[in-house]
Amino acid sequence: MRMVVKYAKRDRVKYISHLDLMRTLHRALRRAGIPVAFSQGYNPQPKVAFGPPLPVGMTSEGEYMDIVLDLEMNPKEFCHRMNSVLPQGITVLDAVAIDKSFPSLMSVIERALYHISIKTPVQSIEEALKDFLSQPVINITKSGKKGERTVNIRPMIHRLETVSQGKEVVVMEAVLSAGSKESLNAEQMVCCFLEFIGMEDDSHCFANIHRLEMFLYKDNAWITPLELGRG
Amino acid sequence: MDKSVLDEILRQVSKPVRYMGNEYNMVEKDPSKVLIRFAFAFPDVYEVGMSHLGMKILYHLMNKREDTYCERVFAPWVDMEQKMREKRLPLFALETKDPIAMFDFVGFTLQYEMCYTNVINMLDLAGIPLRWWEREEHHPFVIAGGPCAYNIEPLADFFDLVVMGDGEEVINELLDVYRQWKMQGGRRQDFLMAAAGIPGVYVPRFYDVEYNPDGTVCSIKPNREGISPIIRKRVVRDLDKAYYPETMIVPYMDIVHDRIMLEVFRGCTRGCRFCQAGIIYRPVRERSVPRLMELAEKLISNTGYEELSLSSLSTSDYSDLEKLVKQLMKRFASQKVSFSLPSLRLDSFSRELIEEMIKVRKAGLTFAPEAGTQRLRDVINKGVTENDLLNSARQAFELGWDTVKLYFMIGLPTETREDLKGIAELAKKVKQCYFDATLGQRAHRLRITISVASFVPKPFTPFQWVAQDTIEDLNDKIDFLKDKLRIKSVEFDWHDPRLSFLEAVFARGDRRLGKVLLKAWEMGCKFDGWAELFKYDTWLKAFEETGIDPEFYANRVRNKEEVFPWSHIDVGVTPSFLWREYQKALKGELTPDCRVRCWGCGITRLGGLCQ
Ligand code: SF4
Repeated sequence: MRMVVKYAKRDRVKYISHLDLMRTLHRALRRAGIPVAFSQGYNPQPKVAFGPPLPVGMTSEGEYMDIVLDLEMNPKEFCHRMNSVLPQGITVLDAVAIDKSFPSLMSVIERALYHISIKTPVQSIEEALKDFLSQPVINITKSGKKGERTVNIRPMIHRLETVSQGKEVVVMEAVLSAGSKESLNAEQMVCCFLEFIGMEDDSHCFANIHRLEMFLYKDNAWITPLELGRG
Repeated sequence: MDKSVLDEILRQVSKPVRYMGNEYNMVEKDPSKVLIRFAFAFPDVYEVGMSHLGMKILYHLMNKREDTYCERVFAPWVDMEQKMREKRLPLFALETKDPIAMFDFVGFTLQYEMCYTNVINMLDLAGIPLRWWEREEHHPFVIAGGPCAYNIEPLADFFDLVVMGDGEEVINELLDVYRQWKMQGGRRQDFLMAAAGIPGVYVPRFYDVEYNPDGTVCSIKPNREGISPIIRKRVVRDLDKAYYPETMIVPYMDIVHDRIMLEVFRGCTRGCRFCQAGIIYRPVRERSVPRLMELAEKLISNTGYEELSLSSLSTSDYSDLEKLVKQLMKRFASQKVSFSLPSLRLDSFSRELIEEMIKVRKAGLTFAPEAGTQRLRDVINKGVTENDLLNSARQAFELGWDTVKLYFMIGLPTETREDLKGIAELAKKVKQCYFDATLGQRAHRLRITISVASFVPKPFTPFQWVAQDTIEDLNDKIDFLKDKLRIKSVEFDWHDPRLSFLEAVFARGDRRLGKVLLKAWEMGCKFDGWAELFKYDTWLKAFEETGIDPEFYANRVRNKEEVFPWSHIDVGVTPSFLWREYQKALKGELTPDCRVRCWGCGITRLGGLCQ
């Protein structure tokens, strides 16, 4: 059977990389005695596929993986067994059985919702955001395998607004592109914004970025992978 | 500690996971409810330290005690160190993030000489006075164990106390004595006196060293009443009964040995003459198959690891290996757990067994002929013949292996150019073997790596008397090999002889080297084992400024009568046995495996062992 699983990666594990997280989950699956299916060949790997990876340093309440089991298992039971063997900071939130034909998470997920807290002395942050977003083109340089290239991130910012403003900390809500078609790293966007408002180079270090949920588009609506699974 | 400062730093350093803790199976305790806080320190980075079996055993062993909380601390990498110094963040333990300066003990495990400056650097980062005489009543006791502890003399200034031999029993005895002392209240010195009464515990300050005019050691004697002139290593008799953890910390990051380590036996009967481990871990003590199965069961279900390594100095010598591997495979193959042997000696392996083992995952293949000719292999008592090696290589190639790594040493006693040529000859023969076994069908896939290290004469070995080749000699030999090893599909890599030279200095060094270590550290040496940070010229300056000649330690032949800086340490095996072995080596005479016949090495004096 196949399942889509939603899980959280919280503060205590925010520095582990995506690769570390995969390894950690693979081992947790074995500890929990989950009958996960393995690939064939000399180096059998558990059949677990992940949604868009979370960059190091961020926390999340909305991560996804898709796992294939050799035997049937109640999703509730799965959550329960996993949570009793996961390190603190990683929690399985929910799981639903899905069909064999379910598309891969990476290919369907298109957007992610974030809360971004920054320390800033700028008072008129809303104005600043408006100015920032009114730019038709926001170019950043991405360094990849093929060297550096310039990318316009403006079309990948679908929403960006403040949700609360304290004395020192501003919390912004952002909806950004995620997934295999196009994706924008929230931290890069924050850096870009901070630069725009002329803040110190290293102040982005104080940004806390928290992913809340990921979405895909179906029948004219944005829904979560779990909702898609439930049909 | 201010966690927000740590958080801020962790965002800026490479591999922040190294400093994060919170791994699965990490022990959590309320520090206010324990009497003893112990920081288990490994003087290298997290991924190296976490791969070390001794730490895993002692961590869980100490944490079984209700009165003790053992935490871990590793050497922060240079970027982290810089940030910590900037923000005045003292060295902290991973579990609670509390500064280790407030602990009762800071216990270092010393696995190799080139970590010594890291020991000093970690003490400094912790804010603990470096030398024992600078520490005050409230400071932790800085203690050491591990293979390098057998000759702790170069570090004698920095340690309050040293533990010799297997730690499983002595650590509990030490903590019991400490508990008593702490509850009664007493002076630092009183605890050390009481601790020195425990067999296997060495307190360097209670011994005076005198030197001869020629610079050699004249004597090492206790400087007060009630201190034993000889310190004898501790041996755990029955490994089945000895403590072994049923769980292990599962790191997030990819560490050097990222798997369950199941120690099948301790010690080695092969008697290779260059090998210190083969002497200091004597005698051989095996765990039984049922006990190993029981441990494997628990460790696999408690960690979820996909791989279990059957560890020991030479696992293929385990008496019941076939039975063990078959049982493990039968029990765990369906869970896709694979098994590996750290030192695959294919010469004593049945093909059937290998075929079993690679069913799940195929590990890398290595051989350690150590020397290029049979003559020199006889000198070092490496009882492997060329035929053994080629046969096993052929089998492995037939079973689908395409890459193989061969380990050699250069600079071994009596070595000639013929022996070096032999290394290249062997590489060619292995290559030929591959073509025979595969009928040339996967020729492009073949990769043979010839890895060469310079021989380092070590204390407590038959070669403790010999001089190491000079760096110039070793470099010549490497150049010679580079030329001879220009063979297609063969890669050649070698260790830096300058590192081996410093290893030789500190391995057989005495107390006078403490000031060199301190000077080198002051001048910026640390992580010397890491090529990118190794500062050889700085080391030379440190020797010069302290007026110490490193060649005296590395490149000098010692005579039979010489008193060694470690002469007051008894590892069981006697100096007369070692001398006998040395003489046999020079004649190229073999001493076969002592499972065949006892050669009277002296370990039986420790009582009731090795029948
Ligand atoms: S006492 Fe004899 S059998 Fe035992 S380790 Fe020594 S030489 Fe080998």
